[in-house]
Amino acid sequence: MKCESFNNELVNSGDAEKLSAEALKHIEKCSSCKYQVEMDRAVKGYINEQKSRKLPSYIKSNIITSIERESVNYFNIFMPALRVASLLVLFFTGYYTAGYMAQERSDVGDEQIVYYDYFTTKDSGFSFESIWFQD
Amino acid sequence: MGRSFDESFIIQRIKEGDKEAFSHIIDRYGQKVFQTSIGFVRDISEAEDLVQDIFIKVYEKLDKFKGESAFSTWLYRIAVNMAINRSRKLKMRSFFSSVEGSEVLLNEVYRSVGNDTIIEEKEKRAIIQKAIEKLTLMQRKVFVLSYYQDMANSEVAEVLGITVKAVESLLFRARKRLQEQLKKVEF
Ligand SMILES: [Zn+2]
Repeated sequence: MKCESFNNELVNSGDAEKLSAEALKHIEKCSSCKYQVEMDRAVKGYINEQKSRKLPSYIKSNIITSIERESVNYFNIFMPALRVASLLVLFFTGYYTAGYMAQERSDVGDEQIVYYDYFTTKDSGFSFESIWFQD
Repeated sequence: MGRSFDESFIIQRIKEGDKEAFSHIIDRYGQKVFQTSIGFVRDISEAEDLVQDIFIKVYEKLDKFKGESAFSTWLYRIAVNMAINRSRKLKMRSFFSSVEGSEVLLNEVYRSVGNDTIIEEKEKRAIIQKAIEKLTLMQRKVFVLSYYQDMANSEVAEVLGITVKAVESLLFRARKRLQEQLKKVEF
């Protein structure tokens, strides 16, 4: 077996522990290919060590706590109350505005009444002008 | 059948507001997601943090899971995407926080190796880690799912939405690239 074929076998299988008899024979004599096998083992060893770490149990509690905190949605809790409150505000705003305007209508000065009557009464032009010119 | 029945039942319960049922999902997939996280972010506490964020995201997005793929496939897709984003952020952070960077540190290791100094176990790990980080994005995804999560090629293909042939080819190129990177140093 040549080094190139050995390397192809190693990379294709991805597992130095599953080499063919021919490949095993090759590494007995070839130090550079033997090194490839050692490197492969070192990488696997590193990965195995990394993934053997266990997820600490407090992570699970942290996740559950976060989820519970997240689902206490204040917006949802206060939404119905907020709707009622905004309706009440609208109602009272309307009520007082109408009252204020009605009051304002009765408080207007004489000049405004003349002005108002001039444009709204049937023969306003006549009455206004006659008063005006009489003085 | 029992497993998938249980799982869809649990998912339904969670969707209906049973938050405690989510702990079953963490029990079943927590360790696997942790292994994937370690594969992308080498720092253990960062990986733990990432696991938390992944599961919170899964919980938030659960309404969008319509069962078109296996739940595990859907979950691992979220995990891989979030892990990649986190590793990018960490890379940026370490780039800005260290002017020297890990590259320089590794070059020192390579130099000391050239001077016949015995490499410490810690340095050996750093070299392997760096070599893994040199993989392209797709090679890395395939490599992590295959080596850190022990997934079959068909599962990797499903999670990444590629063919099994593409997974095999990416794995081959990933191993080749690792070999080339590690040739620089004698263990
Ligand atoms: Zn050889």
